[in-house]
Amino acid sequence: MNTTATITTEITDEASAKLASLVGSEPQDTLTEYRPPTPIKRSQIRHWAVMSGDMRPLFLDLDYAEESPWKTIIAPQSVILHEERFDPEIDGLPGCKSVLSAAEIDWQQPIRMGDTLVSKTTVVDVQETATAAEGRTVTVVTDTVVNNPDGESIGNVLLTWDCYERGSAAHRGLYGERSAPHEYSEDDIDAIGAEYKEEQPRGADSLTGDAVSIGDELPCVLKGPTTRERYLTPGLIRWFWGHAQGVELQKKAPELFFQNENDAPEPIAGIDSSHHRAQRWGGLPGVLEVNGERVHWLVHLLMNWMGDAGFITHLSLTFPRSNMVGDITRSYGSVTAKNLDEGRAIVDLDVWQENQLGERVTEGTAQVAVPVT
Amino acid sequence: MASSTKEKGELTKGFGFETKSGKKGYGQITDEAVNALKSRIGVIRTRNEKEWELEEQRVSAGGIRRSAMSTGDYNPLYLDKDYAEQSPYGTLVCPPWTLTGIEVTNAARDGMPGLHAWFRETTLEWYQPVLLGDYVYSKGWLTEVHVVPSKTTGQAVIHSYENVGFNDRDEVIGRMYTSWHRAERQTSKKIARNQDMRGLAEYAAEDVEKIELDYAHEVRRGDQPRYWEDVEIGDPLPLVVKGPTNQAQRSVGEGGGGRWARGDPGDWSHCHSNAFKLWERHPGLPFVNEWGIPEVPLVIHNSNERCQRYLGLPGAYDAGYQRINWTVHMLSNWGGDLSFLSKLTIRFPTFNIMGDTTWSYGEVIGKRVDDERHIVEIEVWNENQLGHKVTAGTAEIILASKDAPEKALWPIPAKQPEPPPTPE
Repeated sequence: MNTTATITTEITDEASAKLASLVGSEPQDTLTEYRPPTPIKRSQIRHWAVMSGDMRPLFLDLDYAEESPWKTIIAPQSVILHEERFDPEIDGLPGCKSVLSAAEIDWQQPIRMGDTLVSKTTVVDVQETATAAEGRTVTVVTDTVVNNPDGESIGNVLLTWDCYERGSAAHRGLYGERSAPHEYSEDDIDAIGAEYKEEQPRGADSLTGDAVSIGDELPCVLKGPTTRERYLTPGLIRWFWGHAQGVELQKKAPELFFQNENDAPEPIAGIDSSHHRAQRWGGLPGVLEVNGERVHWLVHLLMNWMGDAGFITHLSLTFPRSNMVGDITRSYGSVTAKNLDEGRAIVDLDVWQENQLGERVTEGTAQVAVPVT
Repeated sequence: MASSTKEKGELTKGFGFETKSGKKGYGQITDEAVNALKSRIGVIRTRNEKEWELEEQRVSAGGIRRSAMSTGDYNPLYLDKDYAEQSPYGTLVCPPWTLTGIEVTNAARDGMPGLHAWFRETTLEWYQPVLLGDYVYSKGWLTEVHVVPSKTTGQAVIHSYENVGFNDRDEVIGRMYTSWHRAERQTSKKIARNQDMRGLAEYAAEDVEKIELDYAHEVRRGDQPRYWEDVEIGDPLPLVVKGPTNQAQRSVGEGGGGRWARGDPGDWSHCHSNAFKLWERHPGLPFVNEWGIPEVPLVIHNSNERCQRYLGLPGAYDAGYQRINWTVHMLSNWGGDLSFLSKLTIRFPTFNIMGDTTWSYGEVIGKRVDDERHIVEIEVWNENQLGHKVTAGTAEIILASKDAPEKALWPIPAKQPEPPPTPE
């Protein structure tokens, strides 16, 4: 049996140069085949609500939503992230480990049930750092323009991906001082359950600009402890198609595979499927969470505070630390400015997220529009 | 878990989650739990889907493609609209295995939370195909519950179901009968520990080459008719190979049945506050993981380490549904576009363990003409890389006859839903 300790991957000069050559162009799109632009279904919005743990009736109940300012069910604004038509681990540097390190998102309109989103992603920047000790890291920035079929802008997503050689010191460095997943006592779990019950989402009784003051603190929103089960969704696993096609793909793109415990080839992302496997095959403390999920949780924070009539116009975020699967994340915000604009109050906020260790894993700002009376 | 404070690292990890409200008795076979389950016999259940949900579940080309790709059956009937329009179906058609999507409930989510559930056997009956644009809804009911002694799990509760599927014209499209084995996890583990267990599959380079060759030699009949008159008893069906399975593939493949053709979220998508609400309702349900976090029990069977540690199994076991898909792939490869699979019975005498390779085989064992339908009876089975027969069963395929080559092979007059048996 294969007992190789740690799977490592390499970012080659050729792969790096190929990625750099994409700057200014649309990369080969491996996603549209699996997610062609089709009208957004009500059930799809329900799915997003369930997966982000934000069950507000504005996302779920048509009768309720028709009475809202949007006159129909809308999707959590964070789903705009899914419109990026580029996967750094497949389309960029096959076999690498990619981590989202920053996100800059603008919204012009809500995403409504029945909308069709037409999205185009461009690679806008590729930068490389390499040291003998840390290994090679390539940072790639993509810009995704999201329109409706009439060409009107829904929003824009600028994402920064840091791509690591698997098994490199830089990859290991993402875990900081942590050597294992966080462990919870029974009391911890009970306390988390009790904290969830305290959540008080605001809905139809939306916040108005008059009630907002600089320095206001937003009620915290809790998420987690996370588990791997949430990741078993069609969009995330398109290149794991099995059997004969897996064998064909391995011939074409061997860098996407590793020899697993059966000495059989398996997509390398399978290492990230559980803490056990990340420990055995990655030589790592466990599996990292997907940083992009935190955007969903911040949107939940802002919606809980604003209520149905609020609209997020901008988020600017950096993710200075990675979380591990099994962490909990609390989202926070505080108001820094308020201005009136065309009958709305435009509110600026600082937003941030902390894990159960008190580490600040996200930092950034938000801008929202709320009605004024 | 006791209600007293425990330090980190001292948790009783594994199945069941006793809250401070002190609910007990989960995960055990008791007369009370068995009788509670029996009271549901014959009670018709549906997915309670509203009209808008059914409309959104109309079969799409994308849904059919996902189901085909996740099974590894790239039949152009499922993928190529131009090709399918020239076939007897006249449009894209759902792979027959998507009939498993009519299963309203199964034993993993029906009674006695905390008992493990294994799929024993199923019979599928098809009366007509499901085509692009159709939607499907279903009804199902529990048909029997009884406790039996078991060599592998000490004692077991067997429960069985009947499910009937309808299309959007309210025509019966098929039936699915299932039978499940429920057992106490701790007892199963103790018994398993005392048995000689096989290990995980291991492959030398030449083993992988052999598998690749079998993939390369797959034969699909396609649009060439296979006439009933040309089939002889004893004819072998060309094999279909699948695997070696792996974590990533299984994540896709086990969702590759009906549910994914419909494209809705899985039944186990509970996270964050929703998960905590679920544990409060069903404290015996979750698996408390190695780090003290309650998770949905489904996570067990995708992990070698967890199946070894908590169930005493050699590795991560499959749910069984993929073996239905793979067997159907073999049967439709043989029958071709001008055939109609009308019945499949499959038993699962043992598991497919993560990393196994599965070969599907078949042999013609009978021929008959029944109400002018030309039927071929086939013995089907699956073997793994150890030569173990992991699946056994029979199938019936309707073929074209040279006497009436243009005669439609479906619809088959469907047995109308019968009133379910009266509760005991």
